[in-house]
Amino acid sequence: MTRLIMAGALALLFLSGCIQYQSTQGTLETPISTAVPSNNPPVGIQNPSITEESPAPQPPLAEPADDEFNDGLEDAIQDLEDAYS
Amino acid sequence: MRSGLTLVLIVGLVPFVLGVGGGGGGGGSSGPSAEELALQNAIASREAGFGCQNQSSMAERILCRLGFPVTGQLDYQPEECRAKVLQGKLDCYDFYESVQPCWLNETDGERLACARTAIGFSASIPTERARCETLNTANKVLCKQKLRANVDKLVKFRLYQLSQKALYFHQEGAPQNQIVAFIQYIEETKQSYSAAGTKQAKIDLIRQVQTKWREFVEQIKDSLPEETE
Repeated sequence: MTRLIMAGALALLFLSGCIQYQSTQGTLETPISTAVPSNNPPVGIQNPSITEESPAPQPPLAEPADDEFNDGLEDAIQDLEDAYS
Repeated sequence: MRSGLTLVLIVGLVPFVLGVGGGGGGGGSSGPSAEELALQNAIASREAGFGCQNQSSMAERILCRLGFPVTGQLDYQPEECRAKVLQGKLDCYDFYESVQPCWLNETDGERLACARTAIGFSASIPTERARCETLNTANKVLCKQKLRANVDKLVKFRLYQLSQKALYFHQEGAPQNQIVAFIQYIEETKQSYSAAGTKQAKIDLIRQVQTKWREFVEQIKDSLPEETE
């Protein structure tokens, strides 16, 4: 009876060993390309096109040419005349 | 177990107790009313982002903001608003904030058109006045008052535009002291304009600004680059 139990235990041990071996083989058969990160750059190297800051364009403060010396206040007087007429 | 339950109860009650305590502060009869407190809080919130507030004189404040970039946002306290209180101050901030994006346009005409929209004009002034005339007596009075108030804002925007041109001349090399003096003159004139009671008083002020502008341009012209003249 004892021998029978011992044989059973050995058989179970053998079977579990076989299953473990098979699962190890399966892992090795996994294609290498899927195990390696694809397009991410290595740590520490940054994409310069993303990190470089281009200076924001500064809008002009006033009209550059023709009427920069014009006060435009005749129109203001006309607006007042129109509103109070 | 019991001490844990007590701790949970205390932690849960703290916000409630604090909330009740906070709400009881505005009930005093001697201090400002709840409405005034709300206005003061709104004003403080608006002013929190303003620069150049620590300078004691108007000239110093103008000098401080000479180098501010054009951002399309109100980042300093307009002198005209400084002289106002409560709702008047908030209305003043509203006006100046509403026209700030207009400075991002490139020409005087575009800036003015932008300001007209921001102020609330939907048609020409004669057309808007004609619309007022079609209303019944009570509404006609209100309509004309509103139109005149909007025209006053537009006039102030034109004065403001001269200050902005002065800033441009400063960038082009005009002497700082002359720029500051002119902007200060415009700021003071805007306050005088607000206090002017009649159309003629307002027109007189505008005529004075025209004279001052011509003098100012003559003073600084020589300091500008050749192509600017």
